[in-house]
Amino acid sequence: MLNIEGLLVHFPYDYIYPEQYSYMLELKRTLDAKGHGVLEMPSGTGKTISLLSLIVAYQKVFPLEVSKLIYCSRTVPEIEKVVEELRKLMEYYSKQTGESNNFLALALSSRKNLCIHPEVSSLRVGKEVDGKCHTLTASYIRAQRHSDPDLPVCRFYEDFDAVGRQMPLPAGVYNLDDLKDFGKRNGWCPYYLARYSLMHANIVVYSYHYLLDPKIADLVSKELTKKSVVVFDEAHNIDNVCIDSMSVNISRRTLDRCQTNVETLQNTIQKIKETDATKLKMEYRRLVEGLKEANVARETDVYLSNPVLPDEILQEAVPGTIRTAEHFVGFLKRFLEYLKSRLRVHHVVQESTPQFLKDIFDKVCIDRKPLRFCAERLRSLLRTLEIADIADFSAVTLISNFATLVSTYSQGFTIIIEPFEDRTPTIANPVLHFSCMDPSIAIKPVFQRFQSVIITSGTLSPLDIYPRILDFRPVTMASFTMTLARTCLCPLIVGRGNDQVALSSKFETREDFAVIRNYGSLLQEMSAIVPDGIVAFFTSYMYMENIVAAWYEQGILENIQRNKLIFIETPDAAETSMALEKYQEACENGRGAILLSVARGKVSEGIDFVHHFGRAVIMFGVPYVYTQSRILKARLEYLRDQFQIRENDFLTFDAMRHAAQCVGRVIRGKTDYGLMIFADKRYARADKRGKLPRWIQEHISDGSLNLTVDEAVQLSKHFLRQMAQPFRQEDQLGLSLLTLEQLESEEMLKKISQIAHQT
Amino acid sequence: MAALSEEVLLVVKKVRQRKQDGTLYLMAERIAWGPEGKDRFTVSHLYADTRCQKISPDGKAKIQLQLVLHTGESTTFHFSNDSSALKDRDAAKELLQQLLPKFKKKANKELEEKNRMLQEDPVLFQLYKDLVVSQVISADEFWANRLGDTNHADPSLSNNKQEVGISGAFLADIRPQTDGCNGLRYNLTADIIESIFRTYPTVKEKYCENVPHNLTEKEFWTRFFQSHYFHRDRINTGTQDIFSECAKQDEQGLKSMVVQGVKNPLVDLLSLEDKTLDEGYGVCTTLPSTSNSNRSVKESSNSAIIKRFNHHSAMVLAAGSRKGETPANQASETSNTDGNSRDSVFFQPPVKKPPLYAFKHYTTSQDIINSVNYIQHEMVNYKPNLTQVLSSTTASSAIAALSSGGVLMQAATQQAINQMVPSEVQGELKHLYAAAGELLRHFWSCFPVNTPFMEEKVTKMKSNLERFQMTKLCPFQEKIQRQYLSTNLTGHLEEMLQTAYSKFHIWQTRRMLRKT
Repeated sequence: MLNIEGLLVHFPYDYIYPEQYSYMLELKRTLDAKGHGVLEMPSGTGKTISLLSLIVAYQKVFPLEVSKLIYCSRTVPEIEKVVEELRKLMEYYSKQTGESNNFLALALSSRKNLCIHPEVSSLRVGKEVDGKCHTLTASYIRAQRHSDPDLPVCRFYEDFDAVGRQMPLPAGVYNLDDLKDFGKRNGWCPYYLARYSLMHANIVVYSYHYLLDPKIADLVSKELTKKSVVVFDEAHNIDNVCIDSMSVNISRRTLDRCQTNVETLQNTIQKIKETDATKLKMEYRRLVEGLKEANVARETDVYLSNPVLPDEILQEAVPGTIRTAEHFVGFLKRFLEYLKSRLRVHHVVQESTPQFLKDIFDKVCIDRKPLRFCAERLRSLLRTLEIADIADFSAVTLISNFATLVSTYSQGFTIIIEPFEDRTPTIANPVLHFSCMDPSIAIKPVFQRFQSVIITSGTLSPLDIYPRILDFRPVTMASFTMTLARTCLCPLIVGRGNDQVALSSKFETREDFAVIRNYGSLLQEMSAIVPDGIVAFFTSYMYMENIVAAWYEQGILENIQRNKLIFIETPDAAETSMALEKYQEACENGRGAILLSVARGKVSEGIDFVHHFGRAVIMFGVPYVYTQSRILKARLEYLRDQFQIRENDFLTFDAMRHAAQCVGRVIRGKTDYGLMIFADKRYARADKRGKLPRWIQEHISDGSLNLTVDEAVQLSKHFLRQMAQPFRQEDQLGLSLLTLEQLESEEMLKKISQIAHQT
Repeated sequence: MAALSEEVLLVVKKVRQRKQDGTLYLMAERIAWGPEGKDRFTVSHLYADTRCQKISPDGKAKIQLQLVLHTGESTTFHFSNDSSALKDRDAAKELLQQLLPKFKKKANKELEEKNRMLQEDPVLFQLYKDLVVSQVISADEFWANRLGDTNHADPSLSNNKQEVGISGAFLADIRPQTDGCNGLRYNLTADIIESIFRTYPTVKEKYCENVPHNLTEKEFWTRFFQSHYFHRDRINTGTQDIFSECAKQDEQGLKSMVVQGVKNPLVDLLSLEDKTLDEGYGVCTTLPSTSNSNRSVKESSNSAIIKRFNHHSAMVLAAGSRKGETPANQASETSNTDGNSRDSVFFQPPVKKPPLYAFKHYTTSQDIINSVNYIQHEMVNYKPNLTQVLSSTTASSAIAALSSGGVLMQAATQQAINQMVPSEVQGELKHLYAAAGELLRHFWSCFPVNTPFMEEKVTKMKSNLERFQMTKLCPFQEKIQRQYLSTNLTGHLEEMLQTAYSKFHIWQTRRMLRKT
């Protein structure tokens, strides 16, 4: 039991790290102030359990202030890990207090991970599962079943719908598998059960998209209480998630598919008109009334404001021009023709949303207002026409979402039409990019709605940039370092080859043979001295392909193979997964392996290389984003004009956060150890180095700023020899690991606050 | 020498050695050469002693064949028959090529075994030094009955050896060398071939199919190195290439591995993401388009290299862990997946994935320290539960009585030897005892002497014993005399030797009597 400024916190472990204490302190202050916070603490220092223990304690003590914790993480394994930690905490609670636990905590994931219907769950691909589920459970399908009982049915959903809603999920901690077990026992659909239970659960763990993507948030997270604490864990990429959820790309293929969709719609309308004309009339009436109902609900302030469905839309009825089904289809056709004509360009076009709207009005007389209702109108039509497989209509849904977005936002978006890819100017492949440049648009409703939002990750440096690009005012910002009994990380900046050639991945020297050769010899030398696993990251996939080919020709790879097996990331996720598994197998059985991978790739974002799976990580070059992209240029301009962030600052920030992500993959705890090699002379500059997280930065000594390959090898040998010595728990105690008594001593508290205030 | 009783496999005339004409004989177990006109061999090497053979390059005037022995010595034969020198040489070479590996393995195995025994047993090593290095007896004599013992006694021991994996770089070891005239030479050893077969079972299949019915071994490997299969960065797929099928099968294998998916959910990139954006949403950052048509040749060759490395590493890893299991099942698995049966691979029920926490096993140094402590603790409290043994006191008194200086050894002093003499002398004495014991063992094992071979051996052993007394025992006696130590330290040793000598005399006199 810890005392955090008067709040008694149950902590389920015997020992605590000093930084966990500081973290909880800062977190409590944020909650007290009912504000938002940005907190950086290295991975492997128990961030998750600190967050959970403090917020649960807060919830228990002030149930009226904070009634729900919404914990957002990025990947499914991470979500499951959080729930397991939570389970540990809850078990500890009931052991300490002797009462049975009355908290309900659950994880939510997509149907793919929760479905227990034997046929549907065998599909494995997310979209197919969703589509199939929809064909069994959509409301009008179920209505049809009343007249035709032979239609297929999902008995899990039916049973849940019949009984499940009356019986709330009993208190406890439910991971994805627990939900499935519970569902199987009761014959209820775990997915809808979880979604339904979201409303009264005390703790919800799910993925970012359920809160940030308006298309999903509207369905799932609409009614969550305002008195919630929202945590975004691993949030270093949150701006990109926001932008992705608001951007649309339209290619010629999309338009072709859309064309078929529209024709199907038209035929269906024709058919319905002949058989059941009243349906369409009812829809016409419902359209006016339905939107009014939504309007009423909105005024009571329980709904999340939806960027696709902006505020003012609800004050009015759907415009008369698209109110009937035929008119709407005609409208869609015109819009489609217009888009087709726009894609027929021969040069790159870039314009703002008002320009686009003006052009569309001039050319095909489409007003802004009906465009705004497009998405809502389509949804209503699909419902009326009782179309089972929504997945087939993804193209037309995409187009109407685009219509709504483009007519709603006059700022923060840009439209770029590229007739061909930059690298293949002879092949026509026109794409219309409607791209969001302002991450704050998607996240704004979250900040406005919930009383506390915590943004946290192992790598958030420099801290001040996140509040600027996400446009919010945090009450606390802190970066915690990792207290260490032994220096278990060894960052080295290798700036030169043994022949004094400057090493860099910058554009001018990218093809330089000397650089490629020196990179090769760095990897080769390291493969000879580092035990078990080495992970190497390249700045882009193209760059890696070229270097691997050059190394192959020069026989460098063959020499490396004498020491370790080589595995390489490919653009294909399944292939890479297999390579990863083999890589781990090779590390496990002592043969040792090297994984060549790409910054910003799937591996760098989601895979941890604990202990022997990663004893060294080499970052070849500075992972700048591909700067020639027009979308990026537009975004940089926007950042400069709106947020006064200079282009170079942002690019460097972006490159360094990815570099930090990559090298941070190898240190996942205090007993872990690993080399971090930055192989580019530009890392030595203060403006780059200064943007690394504090827990890495403080271990870069002045002597290791511009090493040659040989020097780096010498230092590494020394480091590895030291790290191979036995490391006892007693060595950590009192320094980087504290018992309760040690924590409560006056002297230690002073020391902790001293460390924390260096920020 | 009894050369003619051996089976002669090949006779080559007109072979010069040290500028002397003569004839080369290749026999079942050795190669020999005798100068012209004489009926004895001046050169004779056992195949087992030969490390390798070397031949002179094709273009050279002198056509030679060189044998390199394990000892490092070498013998060169010059084939001087004008008309058929090259043919003769090649015939000899071919035969040697077949013979040498057989003996090589045997020789290596024996050598390894001997080495291992010496390394594992320090007493034996000391004995070896005392007796063989100082040339009291020859190495052959020393090993004569030792190796036999171990081989019969414990065959499981040698079988139990850990299987050796495959070097990841075995293909790199086949460094092609230019032979000067627009060609490449690959050095291929038996080890590399085995590695290739173990790593790429499909190649082995091809080998069994084609060699020697369709192709010679040499042709097979030439084609292998020329094939696109070996050079993955080349993308021309010739249909006449026998290896294109291998490549296809490999690709199938790789595909089926990929389709099978991974067991560890932590590395499964496909199920990592919870909710991916639908098609068409998101900022378009994927630069390389997936359609193959607009990829340049260079790019697809690059990605072929990458695929190849992944596949190669996976196969090497698999070959290491495959052990006894035949690689055939992998092939049969892939051969099933033709045409429409591919779907069945696709729709196999999803593998039940084990829970996350099943994948956390790593022994930290703290764990190791803990377990060592635990074992130490266990050992301290260990009480052997033995029923039919002497108590330790009786056992040690019995040992004392039986040791030299003990009651049963009738030595004068009752005082323990270890208090009287410096430890260095003790050590030396111990070695002497061991050496003498070994020699005496050899000596006594000759009785009863009933074959001429035994007679010969017993005489030799007697002289060995005498030599031992002269070179080892006497210097030691002088040494202890110089240090004024009691001389009867060696009394027992001498006694033992004397017993042996007298036995020898008795045997000799009896033999004389019988002869006369």
